[in-house]
Amino acid sequence: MNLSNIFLFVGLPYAALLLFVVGTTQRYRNKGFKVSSLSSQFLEGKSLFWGTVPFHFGILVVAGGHLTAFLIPRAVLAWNGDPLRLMILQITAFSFGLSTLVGLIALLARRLTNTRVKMVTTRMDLFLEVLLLAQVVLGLWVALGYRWGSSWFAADLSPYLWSLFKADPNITAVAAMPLPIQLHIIGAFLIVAIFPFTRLVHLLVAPLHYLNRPYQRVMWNWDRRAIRDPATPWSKTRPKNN
Amino acid sequence: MSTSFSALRTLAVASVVFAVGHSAPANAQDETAIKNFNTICLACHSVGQGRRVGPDLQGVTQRRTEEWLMKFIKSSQTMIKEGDEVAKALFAEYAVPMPDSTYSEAEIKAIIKLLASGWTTGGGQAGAAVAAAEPEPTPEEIRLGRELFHGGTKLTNGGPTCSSCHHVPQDHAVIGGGILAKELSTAFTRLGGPGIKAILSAPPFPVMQEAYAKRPLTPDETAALGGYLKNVSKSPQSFDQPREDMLKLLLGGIGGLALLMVLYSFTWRRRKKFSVNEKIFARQVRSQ
Repeated sequence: MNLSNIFLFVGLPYAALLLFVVGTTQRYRNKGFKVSSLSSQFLEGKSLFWGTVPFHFGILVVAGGHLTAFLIPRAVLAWNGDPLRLMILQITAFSFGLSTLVGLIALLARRLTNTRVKMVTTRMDLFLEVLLLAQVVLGLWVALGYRWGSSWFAADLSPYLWSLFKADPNITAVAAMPLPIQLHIIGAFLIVAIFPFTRLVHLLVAPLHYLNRPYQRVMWNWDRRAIRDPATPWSKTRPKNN
Repeated sequence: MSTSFSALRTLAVASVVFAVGHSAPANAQDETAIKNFNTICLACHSVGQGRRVGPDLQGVTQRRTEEWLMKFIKSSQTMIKEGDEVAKALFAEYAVPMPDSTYSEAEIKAIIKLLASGWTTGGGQAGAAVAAAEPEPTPEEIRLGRELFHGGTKLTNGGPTCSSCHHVPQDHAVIGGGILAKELSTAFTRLGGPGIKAILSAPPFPVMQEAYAKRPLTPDETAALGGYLKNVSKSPQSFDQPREDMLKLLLGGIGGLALLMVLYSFTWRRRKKFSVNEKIFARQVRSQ
């Protein structure tokens, strides 16, 4: 077990976790209003749709899949016990992975070409998008070239990640994995490490309450077309507070 | 006289204490080395019972220096890359790369010392298994082995199916096996029944070791998988190549992506496609 493996698969994850916790806490305490992704939708909205929607749905499903295999590896292995189910899972995950890639490329292109968006782009935004792009490309490469990832992740990487959380790191399997898989793992820890210093912090303040919030119904008690017509008399709809 | 007798007695007691004091840890060390050998090395090597996946290690300390053995056990592949002639010859002869050791330098030293002591694997269970004649697998064993390998029948302790990482060609397969690890259609020819059973019982490869550490295969499953691989080795023609799976996955993914794009577009078909200004300007023009 060489030192570089210990550094990359034990030191780096703990350092990343520490940075994540301390960094996000400090950012929220000191600059609470900047815990956001600072939307640029007002500046440009048309090409944003083809970037943000495929990217976000893709990354949510892909990250959710990784989290599921980490939390309930036995269930994933049982699901994959049938070849047809394994194929369905892999193709679905790969489709969402491609969706992430397409969305990310569209977002990066928009960020580099649209003048308005360029004005609000920081170096960290670009660094993050390039890092995410590398991570997604590596993930797709691993999915294609080192099949079947959903099974060996559940069998080998889930125990490794649990060993980190139990403060008893076991890197036997991860140290013997092929290089692209190791790079994908290292990339994930780097993203966790820089999380508090990037626009990724919006993940922590996602407006999930919107999902079960009561509808806000807007009632119009007049004909909107008629009110725009200059011939419509004011008296009929004169505002009461004016 | 009594003084010299007393001194002699003291010397004798001291010698016994010294001897006991040193032999106890030496035995404990031997036991640990035997345990370590049986956990990892025994799957591929015997000591005094002939070759398995790798060479018989009897007398290996006379054939190679301790320094060479230490280096080879730590990372045989590094030695091959460095151009060590003996390491290259061994790899050419056995065709299976020896995985890098996960043991510490002290643990490897203890194993080398154990090998130098003349110890053999004769008393071990795996040793007995090697000596035993290999019975022909029954059709039922072959069927069970196929299902355990490719999925369809769950492994008792919940381990991953072998096809998660290994490929073996089979007729009418929905998908082929994984390619993280070696293709196994000729595994039986290369490793023999005892080799396969030894690897399945105590995997020497780190990734496989961890995957089955808490979900070991049962002896029945090991026998069935061994039988299946033996049967596969008799007809090694490929029906389902792993490369086809790569294409299936790629095309399936692209199809899925197209479907997702249609879905996104349909779900947000009423999205604002133009700026608010445009409508206001258009309205003003109309009202003029």
